[in-house]
Amino acid sequence: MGVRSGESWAQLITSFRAGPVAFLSSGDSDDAFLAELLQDLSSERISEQTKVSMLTLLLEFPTQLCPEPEVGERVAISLLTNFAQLPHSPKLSWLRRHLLLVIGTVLISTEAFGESSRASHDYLSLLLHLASDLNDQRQGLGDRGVRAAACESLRELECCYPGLLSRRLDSLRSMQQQELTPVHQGYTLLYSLALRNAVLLLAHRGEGTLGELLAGNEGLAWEAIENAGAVSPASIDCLLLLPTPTETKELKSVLSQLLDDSYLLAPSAQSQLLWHLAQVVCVVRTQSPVIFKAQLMRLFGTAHVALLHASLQLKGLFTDSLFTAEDEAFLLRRLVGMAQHPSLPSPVKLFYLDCLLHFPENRPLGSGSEEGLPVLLTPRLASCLFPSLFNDPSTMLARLNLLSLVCLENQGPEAERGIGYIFEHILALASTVVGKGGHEATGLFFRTAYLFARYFGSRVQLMAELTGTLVGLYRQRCSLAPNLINLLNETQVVLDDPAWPMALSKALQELIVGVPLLPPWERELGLHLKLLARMAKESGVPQGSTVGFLQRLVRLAGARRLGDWHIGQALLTICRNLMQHQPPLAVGCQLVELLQDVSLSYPDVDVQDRARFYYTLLACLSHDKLGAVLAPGGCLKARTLSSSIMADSENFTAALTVHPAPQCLLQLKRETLSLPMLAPASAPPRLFCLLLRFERSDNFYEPVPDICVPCLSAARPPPLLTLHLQPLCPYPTKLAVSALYTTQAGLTYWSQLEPLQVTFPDIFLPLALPMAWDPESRRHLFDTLWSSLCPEGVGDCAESLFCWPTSQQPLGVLVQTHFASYLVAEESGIYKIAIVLPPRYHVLLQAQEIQGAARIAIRTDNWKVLPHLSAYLREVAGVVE
Amino acid sequence: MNNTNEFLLLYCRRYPTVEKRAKAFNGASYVTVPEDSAFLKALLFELRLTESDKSFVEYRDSCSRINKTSVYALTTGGGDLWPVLAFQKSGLIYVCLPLVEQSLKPHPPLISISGISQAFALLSGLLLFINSSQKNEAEMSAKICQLPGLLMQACPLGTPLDTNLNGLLDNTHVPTNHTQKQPVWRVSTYKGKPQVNVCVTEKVKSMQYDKRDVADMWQVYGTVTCKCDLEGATSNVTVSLNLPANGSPLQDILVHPCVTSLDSAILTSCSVDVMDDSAFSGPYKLPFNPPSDLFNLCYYTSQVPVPPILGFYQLKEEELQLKLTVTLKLHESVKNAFEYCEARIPFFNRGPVTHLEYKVSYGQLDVFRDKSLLVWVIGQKFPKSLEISLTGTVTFGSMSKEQPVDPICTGSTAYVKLYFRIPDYTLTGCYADQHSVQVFTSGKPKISTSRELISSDYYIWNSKASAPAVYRTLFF
Repeated sequence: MGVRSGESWAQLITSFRAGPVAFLSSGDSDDAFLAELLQDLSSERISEQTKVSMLTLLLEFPTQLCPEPEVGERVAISLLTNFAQLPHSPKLSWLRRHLLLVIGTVLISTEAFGESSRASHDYLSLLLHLASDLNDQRQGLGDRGVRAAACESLRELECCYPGLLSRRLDSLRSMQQQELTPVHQGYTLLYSLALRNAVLLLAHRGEGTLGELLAGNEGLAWEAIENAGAVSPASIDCLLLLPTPTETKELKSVLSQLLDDSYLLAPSAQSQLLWHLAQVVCVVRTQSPVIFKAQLMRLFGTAHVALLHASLQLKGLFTDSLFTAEDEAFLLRRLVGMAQHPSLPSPVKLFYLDCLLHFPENRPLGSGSEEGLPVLLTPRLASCLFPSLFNDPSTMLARLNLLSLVCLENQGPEAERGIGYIFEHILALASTVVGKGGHEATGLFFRTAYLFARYFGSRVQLMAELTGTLVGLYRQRCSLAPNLINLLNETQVVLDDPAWPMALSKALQELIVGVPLLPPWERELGLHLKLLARMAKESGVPQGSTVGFLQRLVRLAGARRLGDWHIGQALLTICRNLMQHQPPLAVGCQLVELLQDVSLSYPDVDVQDRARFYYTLLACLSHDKLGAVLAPGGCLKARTLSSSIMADSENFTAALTVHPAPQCLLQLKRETLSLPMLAPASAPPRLFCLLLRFERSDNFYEPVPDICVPCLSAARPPPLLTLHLQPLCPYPTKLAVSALYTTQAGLTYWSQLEPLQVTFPDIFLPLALPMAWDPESRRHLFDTLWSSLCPEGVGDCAESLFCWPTSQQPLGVLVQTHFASYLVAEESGIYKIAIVLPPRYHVLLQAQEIQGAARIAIRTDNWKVLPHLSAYLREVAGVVE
Repeated sequence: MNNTNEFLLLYCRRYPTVEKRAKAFNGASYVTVPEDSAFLKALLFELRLTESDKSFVEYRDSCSRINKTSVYALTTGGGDLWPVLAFQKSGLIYVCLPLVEQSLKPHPPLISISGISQAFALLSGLLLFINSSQKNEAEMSAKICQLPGLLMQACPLGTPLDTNLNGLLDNTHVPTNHTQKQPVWRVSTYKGKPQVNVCVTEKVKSMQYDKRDVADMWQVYGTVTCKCDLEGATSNVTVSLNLPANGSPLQDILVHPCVTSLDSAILTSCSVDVMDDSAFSGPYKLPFNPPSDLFNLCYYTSQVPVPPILGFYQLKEEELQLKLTVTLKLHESVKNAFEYCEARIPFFNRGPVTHLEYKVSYGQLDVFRDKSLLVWVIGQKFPKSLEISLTGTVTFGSMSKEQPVDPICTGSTAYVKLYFRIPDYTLTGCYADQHSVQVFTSGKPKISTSRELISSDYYIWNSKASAPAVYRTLFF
């Protein structure tokens, strides 16, 4: 195996990252790529920079590259050797840092790390050795980055295997104390994590003392690998340690020193340190949390999100043992101030708003995980958080939610005024929905309406006004139907009293049944019917007017003024919901009549059939049985139906639904004469009422009508279908094909087929010439046409020339194979070919062979077809670019 | 991330050891992080950024699915991926999936997840780095190329160590010969004359309605930026911010993490409280260990008694034309020396301006017909009377696609927006001078200080039509 070039590796790395699984499965074997990677990593001909990018693959995708622990071990050993061979040059420091981090990642991720693994032992001793070079004394400045990487690798090991370094706390601390360069952060994080883990494990197991722990200077605790899940920081509430006063004093001096120097760390690291130490103090009950007091003022004033979060976590952990009531009020006021601070980025402000609703109070009333308002968050404090139309959607929702809670939990004129403002704000949002607000404004308005209904659903007057607003919006924009249905569904779930959704349903129903049925109704009618179908489920909403509306529709259908399948189905869905959800006496008679009308007069046969089926059900079944039959997804009890007409079927609702097909059974194959042939693709069942739908990918063609196949069976040869295409522009296209069919089991399926390609030659037609014409007339016609398509003439005429060497096949053969039916005349080696391109375009070709090259002169009255023609000629002539 | 209309992945970094820990915390309910393309698809779907899919999708668009934070749940093949933190800025999306060290079922509150604020810090650092002094695509791609190296230092194994990526750019180490620990961020290699630069920038926002039932709002907020070029690894600097006798106290002060200690008096004043005459009014002493790059030493807000410019805007639709009157008054206490000052009067949801008749008492009026915008250039000074006015009538052509639209400014709802900058002036009076900067280092440093006031979202609404209120008080 040769060494790849840097560029070649860069390409490999890019394609690996784009899809590691696909990349590895496309190669010869998983190992081959890994082996090459390792080999080239130790090659001297590859630059350090390339090696670093190669290592990132192992750093980010170790489990994909090393699926087994054994492979991980092998890789780690190879990389360790690699590391050992690199000289201590500052130039190589970057590569050595990467190597250290990669070895650890591979060992941990592949689960190769363990006491029995040689690589693990070697790696750990290497890390400890590197870390012991304090203040750059041995290797100098150049190796400082490598030391930092060693500390970080040790920290990650301790993090993944808590307790691994728990017997070496004393030596870790001494390193932490002695290091003065900025790498001290790495030592501090390592020590504080090891300390936290050791204390938690000690409290968990109860073996040993805190004093022994802090003075520990032994080997590694390999057993930590087996017990990795023993202690979780989430369970510290139930852990405690009660060390002796001497031990507590020792611990206190450790903690004070760490805290005193904490301000020297980067904020993210500081917040980790504080969190580790807070957990230690939480478990060691003899140590007072007051030790953190000196840090608090600095934390309260910080602009850094991780540090402020650390102070909130301290608050949650220690409550009143660290924070006085005054501190609490102060922190809360600061938090409210920060939640609207103009200098902070919006995501951070949203985080603080969220923290307000989970504020760790000294004396919490509610449970921790639910949203709740802190007692101290008064209307006065919260009034600065009023939403405005200029807020981004999340901010607006967060503020509205918080303000609603404030108004809900407080009483008096302030709260009333607050509710009024909130409502005004929602109305203002509604007007942006009508304006040019788009999807975002729509989504936002419905969410605020939902929140308002959830919190203030019992306020009759405001809710009535909201209903009016919603109805007004629907009147202007029917496309809001799905949003309204969703709002009805969701508010019904959260409100104890469904009065409001009911009232909204009634108001919308009233609006819809009153709309004049004038064209163009197709677009809006579907949406109206969708809403009515939803309202038909409300047993509290009188449905007489809905049925009346449907009757008007059916009359129009009877008069052939509408009658689309979709409208019919939507109409029947309403009928179905009425049958299922409404008491029989309410709409029974009217509905029976309506269904009968549909079954007799609706223009679509499928709709008629389904209406007849419903009619039969309604006429023959009692209401209870009807409900059971129509319940969604409900399994029918065979016994209740044993005497009914439908007893032999298992589940009618399943039969009434269109299911997505689990696999594609069908395939369209082309016959030679460009006719598609339908054939089942796999184990062929018998399929009935197969409806093929074609969807255009562009507007080059007229819509393609559906094709119906009554029965498709494997026993019979596949049927030949003729597809009539009417081009509007003579270009190739692609048709998406879907099939709707019923199986022998009576279920209806929908399935997507392979798209149908309409190629350029598919639309070729020959010139319509009288059979009796002699060659001379034909030639004359062609020449006349040829000169009439001269580009100097009118409009879109164009001329082009296509040449290629005829080494592959002689021109005559090519013309006979591909253009025989379009050949108009042949004259002294010149083939004159005329092709008609529907709807009204022409292509004329004069082909001749000159000195071993074919030369085709082209004229057309639509220059836009030239690229397609040229591609086609290139294809048939076998010209390779 | 963005390129024309399509989002492409610019850079991604995975941390397998963190994923391993996440698996341990969640067992069977762990959701695998999908491959890049699948992740991007799920993210764009959740953020509704895909062009093709704008229709109502219940599990994303349901009104009960209320996202009140920048933390999202992404629907992937293996389940819901949570908590995915995502920021959007200037056509880029910054995403991070932090580790949650507890079970995810049910979702714990964000405040209990340590990783969340770490993710915020990391993304904010990333955002600052990408957006600092980036002008063209070449610079942008150069920055993207620097990311792997920078993240290798900032967050080598998934635990953020230092999220100030700009500070990590200078990778040279300084030898230590000190007896005390150095701050982590102080890696300056500066050699030369010591100098300290302190700049106080105040911004003023305002919403003026000229109505009885809607309260006007104005708000001042400031940023103190600092650049310290000092030799040596440890040097302490103290900046004191001063207020004159009639100055407005600084509130909601937030300080940079390099500030070593804070007096509680500095923090007590808070904008959410009722104003208190006995409020602490400085000097605000901030001792710190300066980082080597430019940084924001502190942020504050303040409440000043009056807005610097009081405006009135009246717009009436008469037959086919609009009649407008704009009056602006500069408050007498404000320094009348602008770098620039202009009032922009946009017209939305209408056709282009076809005809304009106007009279200005001062300054000049420019018309941008295609943009339906009038710009009243006031210049460097208000006249002696401190009050200027504009009256005019505008006629519009028919509405076309190129004309600006706005969901709020429908009907006669309209605004005038002011843009101005006053150098060497702050509304609160806050300043730092030669004497208020102390540097504890060898050699006398050169100290330069400056201040400025800049308008930001300064709106004056048409008082003859409804206008969106931004400030509501529950108390009268």
